[in-house]
Amino acid sequence: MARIRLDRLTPIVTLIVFLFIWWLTPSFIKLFTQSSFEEIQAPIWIATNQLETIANNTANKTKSKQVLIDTISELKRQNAYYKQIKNINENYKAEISRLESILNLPSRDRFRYELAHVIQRNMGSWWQTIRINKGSKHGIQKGDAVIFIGGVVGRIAKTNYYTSQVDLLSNHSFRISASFINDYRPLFYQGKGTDLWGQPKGRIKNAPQDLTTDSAKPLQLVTTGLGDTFPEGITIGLVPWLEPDNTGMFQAGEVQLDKRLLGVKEVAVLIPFNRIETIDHDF
Amino acid sequence: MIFDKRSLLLFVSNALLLHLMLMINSSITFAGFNLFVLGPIFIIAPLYLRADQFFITSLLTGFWVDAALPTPFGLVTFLLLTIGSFILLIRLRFRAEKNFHPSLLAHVANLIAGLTLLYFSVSTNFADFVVLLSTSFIELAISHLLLLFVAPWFFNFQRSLFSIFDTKTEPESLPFV
Repeated sequence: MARIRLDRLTPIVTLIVFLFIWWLTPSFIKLFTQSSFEEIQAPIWIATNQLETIANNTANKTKSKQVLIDTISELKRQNAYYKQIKNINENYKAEISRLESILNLPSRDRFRYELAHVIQRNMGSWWQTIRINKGSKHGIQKGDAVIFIGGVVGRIAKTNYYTSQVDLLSNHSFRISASFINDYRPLFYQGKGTDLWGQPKGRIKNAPQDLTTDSAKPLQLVTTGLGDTFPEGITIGLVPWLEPDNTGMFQAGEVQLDKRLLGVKEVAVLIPFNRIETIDHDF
Repeated sequence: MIFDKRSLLLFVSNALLLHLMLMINSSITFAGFNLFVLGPIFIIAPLYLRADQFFITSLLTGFWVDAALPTPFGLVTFLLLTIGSFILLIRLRFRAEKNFHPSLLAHVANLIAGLTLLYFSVSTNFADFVVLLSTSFIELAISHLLLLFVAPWFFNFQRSLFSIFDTKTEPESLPFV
């Protein structure tokens, strides 16, 4: 019988010893290791984003003057339009404040908006996340809501000092209470990743039986404001069809998300003015 | 234990491959899919280095990748150490100085790592994993097609680094450890 060379088993023994040590290692040491590596990488992500910006600027320099003049004219028109809307909004805000003070109501301004650039995107079957260039230094914490021009983007999953990771609306772990516009009955939304053609999608459950929708005029799904993370009425997506769910008491359906979510560049993080501190049970 | 400069070179090159992959993924989001070509980072360290140096390289690379990807911390480190240890045990059978065997191993490692990370990305729900597997088939297939070009380039790049930095260019002599 051939003798077994024990020295050949050294890698396996070392692996088992390492796994045993890793299992016994206190959580705070693992957390410290993770944070250290993430903080070391943060400048790399920001530098990569800067390189992308430089590349885009260089590409823009190749455009003709006429194209730039046309773009500026268009931006001027849009700027004038948004200035008018801003004035109207300020009037509305003043009116709301006046009524709140007369009726002794609490203020409706519950969030501060922290604008951030998207510096990295992971959108595919494996992950549905983005990384932004604002972190705990700017007051962002895990669980904060993230929105963009098309509605909900997602929720902060992890914060570092200068960067944060956001779980997108289409992420499998993203769940939220939602409702259809002008219908205040809450239902359950969950992200479902991307389909075969790479489009982000979600799914709703517990929709009331009396609701009907069709692909020509789909129902709009919005946030309910329950849970105090997202304000009420922020767009989630469109629901083109509904079908009875497995209980037979409610309806379920697929949610088409905004296609701009795939190329999102600028987002706003909603930071509550009166944050309720919660204990993080991750570690 | 004498520190082998190649450990550091392999770690840096592995980190470079990871960042290139993430940069490309970040730029092709309009297509709605990710490329996963991390298979090659599993291969050269166990084929070329001594066991202790392989462990150092795998630990550093693993922690680096774990911090960059939205995976449970330690998962990629575990995969690197497990797959690497297996390759280390049977490395006599492979011709490390050519690209054929390392490329084949890179495809196997890529598939194992891709499926494991996919499973953990759906919060270990097996029913969701099966559905996701069907939708991610195209992404996996494209990733492996790309790996046919990426893996040989990456292995040549790592061997070039060994030459440029004046280190030993052959795999460690037998016995293994």
